[in-house]
Amino acid sequence: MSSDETVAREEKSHPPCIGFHNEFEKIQEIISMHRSGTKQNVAILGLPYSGRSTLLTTLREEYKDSSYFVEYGSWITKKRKLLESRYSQPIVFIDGCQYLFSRRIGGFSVLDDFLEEVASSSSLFITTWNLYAWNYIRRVREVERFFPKIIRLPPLSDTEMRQCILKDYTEAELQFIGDVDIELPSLLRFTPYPVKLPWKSEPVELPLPRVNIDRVSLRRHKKEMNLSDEELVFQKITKMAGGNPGVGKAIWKKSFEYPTVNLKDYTPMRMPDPLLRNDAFILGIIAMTGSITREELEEAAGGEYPICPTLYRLLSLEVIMKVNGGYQIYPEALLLVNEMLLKLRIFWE
Amino acid sequence: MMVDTQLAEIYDEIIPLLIDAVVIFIIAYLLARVISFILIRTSEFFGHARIGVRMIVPILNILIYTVAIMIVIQRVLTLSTIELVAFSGLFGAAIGFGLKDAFANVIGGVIIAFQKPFRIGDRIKMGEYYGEVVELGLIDTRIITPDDSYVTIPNHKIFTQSVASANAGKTEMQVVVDVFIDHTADIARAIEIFKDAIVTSRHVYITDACFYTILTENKMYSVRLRARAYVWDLRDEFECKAEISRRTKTAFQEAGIYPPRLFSGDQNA
Repeated sequence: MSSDETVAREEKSHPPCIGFHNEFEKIQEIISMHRSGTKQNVAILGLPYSGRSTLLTTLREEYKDSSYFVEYGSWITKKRKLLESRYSQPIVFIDGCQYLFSRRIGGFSVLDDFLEEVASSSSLFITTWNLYAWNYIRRVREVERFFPKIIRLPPLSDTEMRQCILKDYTEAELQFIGDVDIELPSLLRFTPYPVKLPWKSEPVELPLPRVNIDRVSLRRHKKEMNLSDEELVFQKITKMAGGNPGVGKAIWKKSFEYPTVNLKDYTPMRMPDPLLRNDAFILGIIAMTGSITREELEEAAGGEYPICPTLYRLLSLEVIMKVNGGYQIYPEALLLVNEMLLKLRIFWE
Repeated sequence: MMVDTQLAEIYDEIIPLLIDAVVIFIIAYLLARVISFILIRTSEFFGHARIGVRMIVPILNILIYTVAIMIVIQRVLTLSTIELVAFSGLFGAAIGFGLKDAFANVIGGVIIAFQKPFRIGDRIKMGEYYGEVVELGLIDTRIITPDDSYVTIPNHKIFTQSVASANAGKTEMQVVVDVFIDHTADIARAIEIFKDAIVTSRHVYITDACFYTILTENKMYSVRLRARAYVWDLRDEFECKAEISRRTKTAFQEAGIYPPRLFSGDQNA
């Protein structure tokens, strides 16, 4: 069998979902278990732009005939029941569950209805959630009890980031200017490992040290100065993006002028002054939802303060952007926002 | 001739030693101030870990002053056993008669620094004063009260008065918010609204350790709803309480949940 045939066969058995093969297989396993009578709803968690929708779309393609797919792109305000026809399908895929609630008084009724339906339905629910929204709502409504299988999307490696970005280009005629400093990667990396303790209801995540075997060769290459410009560019993009595919693509777009990719002039985003509390709160709400309108933000502020100066400041700092009437975080600003808001405890853990 | 010798001794030995001692204490003072300033300023960049950074300040101050005193003693006093006993006796008498409070303050300062009944950044109640600890010195502790008064409390007070620390070295602290509703009001709906007001507050922080509860209590003319929740930065304590109260009241009005009715004296009778 030729190598092309092997690749084609593998692609057929595992549709292209760069970086998330393990997660894809885990969900396949959960679906098989559901078919044999064990139902365990799934929550796929990830930061904005981390590829949650991509994974869910790939799954939907795989189970097209036995599933129902719902995608939420804005806040669901009215209590509405999922149609019975949806329940007739054994698998229900729901993308963007963070839109089922709003952080305001009375903003959880739709989610409450939804959770009630999840609990009473015999269908398997495979859902995606913005990680910040999940961390918030699990403290408020204990959603993890309805979704016992939690899948966190891992960051992409350099190679996966390269695949992810270059899959949009047919001809590899690109010219890379990789005049960037690359730090030697650490031999050890820490990954969260859930440990179930007898006296705690929910698992505790302990940082488990792992040896970066993939990177050992890279260290040797680096020492020998054998890295090509292309390798350097993707390594740097992955590092700057924290392995987030959406952020990586945004950095790529900013430094790409056909046919040249020049990271030399790319400067990561900096915040000139610390954010005011109110600004940080509004920024947190935007990051938590993905896309949110001005009216919804005003409701989240609860009439306590005008959000106009906040939006103006965040827009002028290029931390957020307005797309189709909704405010979103700039992908390039995501890691900075993450760091700032974790420190300010706007994002809960 | 004798006078000349004594004067020469003063000029040649005692004055240089005094100058040395003064210089050493000035250096120690400046060093302590600079390090305190840098650490307190830097701590603001550590977000919720700022109190941990600030905890180092009093310990460093004590170390710096202890080293300064040791250097001075080493340079000034070269004591024999008899002189040491005599010096100790005099020192003890001085403490007993005149420097009792000052010495108690220093001991109090050392205890505060090492035993940490409270730390810089804590909200404490000592005696009649309540406020945020902004400075821990060897002699006294300074707090800023909610009405922006700068209060200096001698450190020896910790021996005689109980100290309540609302946050015990953490940035988050518990706040208690009370609202009162009429007995005829829909209590279940009121609790639902009150819960929402808490979990959607921009100041509230919920974790495994920092959870919130709502208690109800029937009073003579009202039902009291009491929420206990954690504010994510103790500096927002009052703003958090006010914000939750305001938003709850507005939502109660919209939902037709009314405050307790006023009863006149005649009705009571």
